Amino acid sequence: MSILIDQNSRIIIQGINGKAGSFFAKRMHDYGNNVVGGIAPSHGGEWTLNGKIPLFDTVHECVQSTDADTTVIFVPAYSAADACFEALESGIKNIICISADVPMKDIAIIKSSLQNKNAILIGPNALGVFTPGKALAGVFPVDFAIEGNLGVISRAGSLCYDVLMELYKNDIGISSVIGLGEDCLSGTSFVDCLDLFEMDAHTDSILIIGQPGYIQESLAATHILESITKPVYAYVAGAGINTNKIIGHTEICMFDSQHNAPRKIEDLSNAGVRIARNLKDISQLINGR
Amino acid sequence: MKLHEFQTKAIFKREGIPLPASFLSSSPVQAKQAASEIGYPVILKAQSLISGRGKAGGIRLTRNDAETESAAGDIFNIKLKGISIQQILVEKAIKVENELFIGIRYDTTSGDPSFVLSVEGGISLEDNAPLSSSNSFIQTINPLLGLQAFQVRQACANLKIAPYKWKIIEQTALKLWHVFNNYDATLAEINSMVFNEEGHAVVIDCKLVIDDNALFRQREFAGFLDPAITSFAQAEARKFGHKLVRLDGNIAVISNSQGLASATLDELAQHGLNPALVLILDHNATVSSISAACQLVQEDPSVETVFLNIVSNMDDCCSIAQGIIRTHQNTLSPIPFVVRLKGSHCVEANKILTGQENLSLIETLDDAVQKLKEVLEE
Repeated sequence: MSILIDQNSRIIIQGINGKAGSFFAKRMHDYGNNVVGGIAPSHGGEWTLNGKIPLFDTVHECVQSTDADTTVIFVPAYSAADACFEALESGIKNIICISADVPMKDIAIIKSSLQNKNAILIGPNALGVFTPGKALAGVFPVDFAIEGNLGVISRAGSLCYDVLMELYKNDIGISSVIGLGEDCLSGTSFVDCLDLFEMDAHTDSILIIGQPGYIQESLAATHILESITKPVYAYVAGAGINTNKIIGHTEICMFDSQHNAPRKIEDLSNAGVRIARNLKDISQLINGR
Repeated sequence: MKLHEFQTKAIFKREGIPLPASFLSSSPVQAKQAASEIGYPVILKAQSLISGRGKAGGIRLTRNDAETESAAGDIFNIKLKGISIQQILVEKAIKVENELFIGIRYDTTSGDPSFVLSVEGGISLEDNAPLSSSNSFIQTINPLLGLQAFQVRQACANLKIAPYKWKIIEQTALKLWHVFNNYDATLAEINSMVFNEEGHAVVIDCKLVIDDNALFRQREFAGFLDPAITSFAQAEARKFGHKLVRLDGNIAVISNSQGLASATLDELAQHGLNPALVLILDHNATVSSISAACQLVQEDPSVETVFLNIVSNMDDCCSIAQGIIRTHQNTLSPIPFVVRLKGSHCVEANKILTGQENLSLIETLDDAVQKLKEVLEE
């Protein structure tokens, strides 16, 4: 067991002919051997990855012939909303949008369209979902993860890879890892993922990787206090950032003085979450329990 | 992208939101001319994207030419966070009583836009400060349907606003939604709207933040970059899709995500090291855009060393390595680089960089801090 995806997932890739799409299609196929199709309008009927993956013009056609349940989207930002709608209308259950820089208006509209539908959106700007030993639906590096019982939820991209390397070095296995994306709005939140891991029989404990900006970690803290029984660990980067030292104007949310790391750490800590002070601390904290 | 007040007002005017007469001026003499054209009393408003202009004396009421010229002179001497004021908006002074606040922003909890009406002046949604429930009324907007007139009426009734004002509030709120939706705003604020004796409304202050990610379909804002605020370096970085923030230390930090950059700053702070700037690389960084980023930060006079901390999941470690090499080749006396490249394909990338002068390849953050200390002591 794991959350959202496993070896039986039937994964398709929208935007498979692009640079990132083809690169990660190969990685996903090599890892889980469960990529059943790719979407490349006007290339339907052709094959890609040395004849391993069939191409389709539309998601609908692809679902009809492959029974796909999960899509990983690599299209450019301006067509990300379109790709998500196409997946949703075609009955895909797990919509994982890797595309970055998607306008907030588009995200709000997609989120709103998901209501009352049996589908979830992870992203945009997500890393996707990775279940070590079983399947990859996203862009995680696969060489630093072993199967285990720790569920990992991250907003950050490259920081999450750094954490995975650290866990790997210390022989800490992972049930699933979800990369939500660093954007202000995203389809799936820490709260949703905490519930998924809480219900997963193969997850014993949960690690949250947070960062400054936006309110998600504080909402997670409230939810942990109310509904999560499994032990939760957290590492929130950015406690050493001094926003008083900024010269001029910034629009980067890691310098948000309202939703800063110390405040998030306080909220999580008050909810009984064990806090790692730095990267190395994470494994010690988890191994020392 | 946060717009200046005068830019926001130009858009609001276009959309038919009632505003007082105003002119933009860039010298005390121009301010004086604008004031006589408008008619006294006028308000001089420093145009700045950094908050705190009021406290710094950037908003002044003047009643004659002499006052205007001297007040404008004072305002042009103000520096907010090291940035001086380049422009003043000269505006007809309006008697302020019975202020109203109307705002629309994204509620990051639900993901929907939300509409706020408040009878309390001087608030701002930008600060995320909690709103008093007796003075404010919040409505969630369905992004597929947009703000509805009844939602505005509900808010008016709830706040016990005099009924003769409802129609104009409703019209203005719907126009504000129109701006928010059509211009891909992430925040649109009227702060505040006042009513004169005849019951006519006028908006005296307003704010508009445009979604950077939507600039591909909001072309008119591409030329809106303010050179005084987004410094040359920031403007250059933005050209390549990177994001840059200036701080007051001496180390340039380059990273490929905000999370990793945050962790890097933590490590530096724990060891008493100070960043001069932070640059977050574009998602689709290429050899030439990476080289441009390195070039940009090493030309900054306060930067003594550059720390690149990159953990990659793609094959782009090699482009990063090549970008660094290109920068070094184009520079006569490069400043020291400390580089940590991890992740997929990092072995090849590290090979490319091995043996480069003035460049240290390191494995862990601990080692990086040691190396940076050594470099700075030299």
